[in-house]
Amino acid sequence: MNRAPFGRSVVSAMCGIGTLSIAMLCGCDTNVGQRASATRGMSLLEIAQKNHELSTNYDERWVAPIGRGGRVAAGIVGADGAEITVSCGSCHGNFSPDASRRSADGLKEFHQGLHYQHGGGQPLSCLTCHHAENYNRLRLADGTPVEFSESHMVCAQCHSKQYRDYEHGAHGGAIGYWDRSRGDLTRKTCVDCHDPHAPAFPLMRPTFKPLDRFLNDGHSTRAGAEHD
Amino acid sequence: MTEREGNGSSNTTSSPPPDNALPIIGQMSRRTVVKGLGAALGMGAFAVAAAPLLEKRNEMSAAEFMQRHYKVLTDDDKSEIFRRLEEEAKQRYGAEVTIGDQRPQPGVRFGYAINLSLCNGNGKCMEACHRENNHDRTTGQSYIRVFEMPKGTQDLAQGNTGYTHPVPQLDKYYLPVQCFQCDDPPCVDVCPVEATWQEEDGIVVIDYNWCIGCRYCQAACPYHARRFNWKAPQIPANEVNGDQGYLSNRIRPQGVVEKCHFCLHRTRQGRLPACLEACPTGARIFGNLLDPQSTIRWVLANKRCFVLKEELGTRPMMFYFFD
Repeated sequence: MNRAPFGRSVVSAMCGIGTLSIAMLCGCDTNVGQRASATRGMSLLEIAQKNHELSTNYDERWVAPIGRGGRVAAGIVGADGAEITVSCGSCHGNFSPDASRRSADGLKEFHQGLHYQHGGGQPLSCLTCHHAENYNRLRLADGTPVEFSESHMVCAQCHSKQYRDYEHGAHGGAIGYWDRSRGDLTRKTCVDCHDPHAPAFPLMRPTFKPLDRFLNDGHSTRAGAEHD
Repeated sequence: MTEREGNGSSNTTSSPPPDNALPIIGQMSRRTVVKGLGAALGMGAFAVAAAPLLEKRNEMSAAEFMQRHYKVLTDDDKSEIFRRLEEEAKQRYGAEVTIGDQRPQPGVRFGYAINLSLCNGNGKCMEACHRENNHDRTTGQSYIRVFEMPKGTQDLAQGNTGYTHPVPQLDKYYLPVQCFQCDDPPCVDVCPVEATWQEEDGIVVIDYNWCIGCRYCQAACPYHARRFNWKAPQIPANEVNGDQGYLSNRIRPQGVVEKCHFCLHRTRQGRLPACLEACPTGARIFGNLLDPQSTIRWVLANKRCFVLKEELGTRPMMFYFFD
């Protein structure tokens, strides 16, 4: 059970010639969406590393580490130019789950390089959030299956204050109309900003500075003097 | 000021003293050299300073010179003026723009809140403001400044806006400052020509064509929220935001004061301000203070909000809180 219980067939498919047909059998489609273009041609390890580089441009940061919405990128591009994805269960259905696993360290085949830091000193097990019997779903603490699209319900079990704020519109930001009678309001969900496997908000590098007369002209003893 | 000097002296131990001395040019002719230098500099400075005035006089049309105060304009006046300004934008910037006259909505009073526990000082709000509001590209102007503040103080003099290191730093908090649309705005009181005033939804606006550029309002604002257009903004044609308002983000003329207007060309049409939509941390919350169901009302009722320099009695409509 200590061996990585993950999809041998998909890994070989990624490297081999028979990729397309196997991925098709696994039920591929193209719903990874526009984020896939940023990671096209990269190995899963490279994608994971990219996710955890110091973010200089938030928009380009690919948040979800391996998959999204219960599907993973197969690392290949279909005839229509879109990334091919595979449902989680198509591989996990062939292996028994390992409830003791609390990191990606030592995995030999899949999810290698997954940066996992969730739960502080006592990291959560994969199966705290992932459903052991159906990897296309998440689970609540009482075992209730939850769709990936409803993942905020899983987060809300522990992060109740953030969820309360979110429900009142005071967490997570918004785009659109404050006056709902005149237009729609688009809300983000937890995993749009927080990598669920390492949810701490990343360091960012400020990219824009107004060129004030009093900055960096030698007159100020404070501005920018002690840093960089 | 004494506070500031106190902090300065503690810093000077680590940083070299500012180089204020004039360069010394030989002992014998110092006086004459300095006098000559002063005269030359003075003349040069006068020529440089006068050039924009001459340029501006050439640019000002008779219609612009005769234009009356915004509040007494009829609808016909406005459409004529807006058309003229749109043509000017076309000529000077090569951009197609639409200048609207967004008015306050009945039953709306705007409030803004920022969660300082979430703000990490990344500065995306400044950048969004810069683009949305047609700011000068050469100076990177913006209505917002994000101060990196030592924890435990609200003294802006101890803040630093020039940081470039990764954020957030653990021993700092980040304080975005822009116009707070005060309920008792000192900037409005001091304007000698009533070029700036508060409207029904709380937004303090400026008629850029009525402003005489005296900058009294800049001096009166305790939050340094107002900016002066030392020169006409330079913006490439493809970067001009064509969605404009007469009292908000239209390209400002040279020699007038400007400031944040809560993106009134957006917010009076029900949309959210550009800085809020750009914030990657979700720290910004905007809404109608008169709507009991609004997010901003929930924040005011459930978070421990404060305003900057409350003791001045300006009653800002921008509220800060920590979680």
